[in-house]
Amino acid sequence: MSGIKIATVANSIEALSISGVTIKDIDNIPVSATVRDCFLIPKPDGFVSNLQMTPRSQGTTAQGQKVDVTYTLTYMLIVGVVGAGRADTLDFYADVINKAVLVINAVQDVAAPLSGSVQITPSGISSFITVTDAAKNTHPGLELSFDVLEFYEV
Amino acid sequence: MAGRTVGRWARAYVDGYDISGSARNLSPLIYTFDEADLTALSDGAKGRLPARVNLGVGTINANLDNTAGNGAHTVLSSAGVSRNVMIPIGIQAAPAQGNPVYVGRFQQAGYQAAEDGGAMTVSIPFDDYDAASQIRYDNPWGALLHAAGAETAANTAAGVDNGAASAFGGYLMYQVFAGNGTATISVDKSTTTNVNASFSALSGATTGELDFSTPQAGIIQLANPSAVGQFLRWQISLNSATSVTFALAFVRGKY
Repeated sequence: MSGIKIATVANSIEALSISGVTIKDIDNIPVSATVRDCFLIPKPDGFVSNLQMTPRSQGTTAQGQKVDVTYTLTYMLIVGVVGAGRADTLDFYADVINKAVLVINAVQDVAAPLSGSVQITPSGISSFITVTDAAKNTHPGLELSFDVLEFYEV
Repeated sequence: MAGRTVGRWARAYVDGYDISGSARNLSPLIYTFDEADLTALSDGAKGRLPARVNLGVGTINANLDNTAGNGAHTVLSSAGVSRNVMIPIGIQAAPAQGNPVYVGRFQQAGYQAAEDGGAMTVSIPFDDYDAASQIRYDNPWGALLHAAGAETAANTAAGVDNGAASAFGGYLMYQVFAGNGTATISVDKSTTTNVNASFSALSGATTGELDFSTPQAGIIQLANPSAVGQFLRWQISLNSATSVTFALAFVRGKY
């Protein structure tokens, strides 16, 4: 069925199996996390950006017009809780980096396009961020972005 | 799957080597006709007819890669020879049975290395068809009957549906990447239904028994005219080999 398939792509990303990382979809973003949690969640304030729709043929959708759809999905990788480890070290630092590498590798290494997409490419990694949840816990992490290409008519 | 695709799903196989991991992009896959100007004095406008066809894979741009087996430098650093080239194009996924495929045997005209944005790359120009090979057909586009992969037993599955039978022969190209003995790769046809029981050997479409212990590729041409059934599928008969990894394409003659 034609249309933009962001929900399908997000669902496909949630279905990836990444050791030590719990991936969430747009409909199950957690409101809090514990010291042992590691989540990859859609960034609530900026999940989809850089949307472009480029016609590749004439006519309308009903006539089979081909349209490229590109956009960027931004996820937040949050790991543990700030202050939960040794007071004099950034002992979460390595864990954040290692988990980010696992996520990027998992997306890059897919043998077939993730459902809903034609091509998905890791495209960015932010500097460190902190996220405060509803329970007032502060979680370290960073943002990962992925450029997605869809064919609207598929 | 049917529809559009993107370049990352194309593959490049040369003489039994998969150089897809080295190849950066492919030049236009050439399929053009020279035209003869047959305009007569009383014609209102200029008129032409298609004459001889031009085929070729243009220039393959690759990373200078000396990985044993499949690196572009390892496989293609010797120019001035002819090579069997297969370019299958996957539709929104890796190449699969039924996908379009461009094949031919072309002269490798050069191997030129240069720095490109810091990377060492190579340009590998290919010329026209190998004049030393029999050139019975002028159509380079066919269907992929077997995507690159290993087989350990005969085929009992359905094949590729051409929509209709054809009567002008055709040719197959095989690219064998690995094997452990002798076997025969061939094409089966069916003129009725696309089920196992309906298939039988397509006359002449066979490699004969070969030793597939080393990478190799080749073209087998059928007589023209000759009947080719609507449905085609790959077939393998293992002799001393227990496994052969290969890709197989078939191109139907058009006239």
